[in-house]
Amino acid sequence: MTYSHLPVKGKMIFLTIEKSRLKEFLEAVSDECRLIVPEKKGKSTYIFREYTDFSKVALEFVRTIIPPKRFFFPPSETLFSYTKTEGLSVSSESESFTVIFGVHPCDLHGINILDKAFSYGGRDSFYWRKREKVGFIGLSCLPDKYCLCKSMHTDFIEDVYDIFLYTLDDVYMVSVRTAFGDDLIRLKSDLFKSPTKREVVEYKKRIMERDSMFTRIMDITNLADLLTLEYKSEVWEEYSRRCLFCGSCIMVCPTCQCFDVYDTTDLTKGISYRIRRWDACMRKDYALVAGGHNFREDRAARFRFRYLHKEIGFAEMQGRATCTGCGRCSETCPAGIDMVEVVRRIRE
Amino acid sequence: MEKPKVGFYSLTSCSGDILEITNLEEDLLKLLEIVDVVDLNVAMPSTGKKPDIAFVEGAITQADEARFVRQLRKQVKYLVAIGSCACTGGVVARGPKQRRGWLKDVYPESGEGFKIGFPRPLKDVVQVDLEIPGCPIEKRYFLHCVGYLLKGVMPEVPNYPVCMECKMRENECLLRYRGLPCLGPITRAGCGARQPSLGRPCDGCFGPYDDANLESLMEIFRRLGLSEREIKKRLDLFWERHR
Ligand code: SF4
Ligand code: SF4
Ligand code: SF4
Repeated sequence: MTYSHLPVKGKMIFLTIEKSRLKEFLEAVSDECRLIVPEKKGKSTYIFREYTDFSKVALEFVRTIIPPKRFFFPPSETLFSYTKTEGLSVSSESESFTVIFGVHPCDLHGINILDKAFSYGGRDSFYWRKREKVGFIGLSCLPDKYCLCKSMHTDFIEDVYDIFLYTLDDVYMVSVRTAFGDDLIRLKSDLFKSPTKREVVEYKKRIMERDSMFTRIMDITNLADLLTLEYKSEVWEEYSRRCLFCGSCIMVCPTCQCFDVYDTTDLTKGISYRIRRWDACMRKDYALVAGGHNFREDRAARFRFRYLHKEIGFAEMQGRATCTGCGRCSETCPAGIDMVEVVRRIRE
Repeated sequence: MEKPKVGFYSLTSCSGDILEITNLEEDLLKLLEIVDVVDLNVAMPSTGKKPDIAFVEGAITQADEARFVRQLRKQVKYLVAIGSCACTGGVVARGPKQRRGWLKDVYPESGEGFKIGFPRPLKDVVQVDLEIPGCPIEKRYFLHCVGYLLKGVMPEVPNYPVCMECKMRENECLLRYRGLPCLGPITRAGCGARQPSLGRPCDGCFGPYDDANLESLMEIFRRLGLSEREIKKRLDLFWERHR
C-alpha cells in the first residue's frame, strides 16, 4: 500500500457502502494496518482503542473522553535516553501505520490545528514521526447538548480525513479525499458503489436536518475583542473560586498542546530519560521560571488565561480561535464550569 | 569512590512505606550496589554508621521520636519524609477529638515512658528536604527521587492533582458521571490515579498539592447531597490537618 495524504487529483470521489458490509471493510483495513475505533467505556462515555471485534465498535457516539490526539501526541513519551557508556540515544521506535476510524468533524479540525502548532517555527519531529503514519476515516455525527461546533464553524470538514462516512438510512455515503483513502477503498473495492440519485437526495436532507439540531450556540462575534476589553472583569475572579484547577478540561481538549519536559533515571539500569508529558496552563507552576518568579500565580489570571489563549492566543498562528467546539471541557468539568456560560457572562 | 550512605527509619506508623522499599526486590538488590544501607530495621541490624540521606516514615508522637529526628537532622545531608504519616500526620493523626478516648480504650495505664502526644509530621519538628507522600509510597516515585538525590539534585515531583493523571489514563470521571466523592481534584498526583482507574474514588493519601481548592470541592460534595458529617468523614483519613 502506498501511503500519501495528498488529495486525489481532480474532484473528490463519492461512493457508498452498505451499512451491513462496514464490518468487512474495517476487517480488511485492520488486516493491513493498526486500526483504532471508538468503543463504549462507561454508561455514556467512549474511548478510542485498538480494534478487536466489530460488535464493540461504537457507530453512534458523540465524543470520546480523550480526542484522537493521544495517538500521535501521547500523554507521556520518552524523547531520548542517556547512558554513561553509550551516550545519547534518541528514541526512534518505528510506528506502524495506523488508521483511526470514527473521527468526527470537530476532532478532524482539532488535528488540523495541532498539525499547524507542531509545525510552527519548525517541525516537531516527535509529533510528526507518529502523525505522518496516521490516516483517518471520518464519521458523521449528531450533536448533543454540549456540542458547539456549529458556533465554532467546525461542524463539517473538507480537510485532514482520508475518507469520510456520512450515515444515511441503509448506506454510508463515502467521500474519498486522499490517495491513501483511495488505497483503503481498493482493499475491498467490490463493497463500494456509486451513489444513486435517491441517496444523494437523502444525503442533502440529512445534512439539513443535522444543521437544525444544534441547541447550543455560543456567540463568538468580536469575542477576542471582548475578552481583551473584559480583561479585568470580576467574572474571572468569580469562576476562579469555583474552578478546582484540576486540569481535566485541558487534558481532554483536542487542541491543547502544552507539554512539560523532565528527566528521570532508572537507577537500576543506569539509564536516564528525558520525558515530555502533557501540561496544563492552569497549573500553578506552569508559569514558574528559574529564580522563583511566577508570571501567573494568581488563580483568576490562570483561569482567564485558558480562555484568552483558546480564543486569541493562537490566532496569529492558526488564523482562527483554537476551540473546535467539541464540548469535552464542559462535559468533563467536575465543577460544572461551562465555557458557553463563561462567554455569555463576559458578553453581558 | 565511597558509596553514599542511606538509612531508613521508622517512627509511629504501620511500617508500610519501608515495606514497600523492601518490596522493590530486584530493584532493591541493584540499589544496594549503588548505595550503602546503614539502617533498615525491618531487614537488618543497624550498622551504627551515620547516613548521608535519611528516609523517615511515620509521625512523631513521642518525645523520644522528636529527639531522634532532631539528632538525625544534624547528621544528614538530606532528610526525606516518606509516606503520609511523615508528611502530614496521615492515618496516625486521625480523629483529633476522639483520640484521647481511643488511647484509653486501646492502651492500659502506662508510665511516663509511653506518653503519647498529638501526632506531628516531620516538618513540624525539623527542616525536611523532601517529602515523598503516599499511603503507602509509590515505588517508582521513590526510585525517581533517589535517582535525583544521589546526584545531589532535588527531584522534580508532581505539583498537580490526581485528575490530570486520571484523565491521561482516559478514565470516566467518578465525580462527574457517578457522583462519587472523589478527592482527586485536590490531591497531589504521583500514583497514576490508582483508585479512580479501578472505579474507586481517590481517598487523598498523597495529601494536597500546592494549589488545592478544598472549599470548591466541599461545595461540590454538598451539591452531590453529602452531609457535613459525611464530608468530614471523607476528609478524616488524610485531610484532617488541612481543614
Ligand atoms: S475541568 Fe473545570 S474545575 Fe477542572 S480546571 Fe477545568 S474549569 Fe477548572
Ligand atoms: S476548549 Fe473545550 S469545547 Fe473547545 S476544543 Fe477544547 S475541549 Fe473542545
Ligand atoms: S475520577 Fe476523581 S481523580 Fe479522576 S478526574 Fe474525576 S475527580 Fe479527578
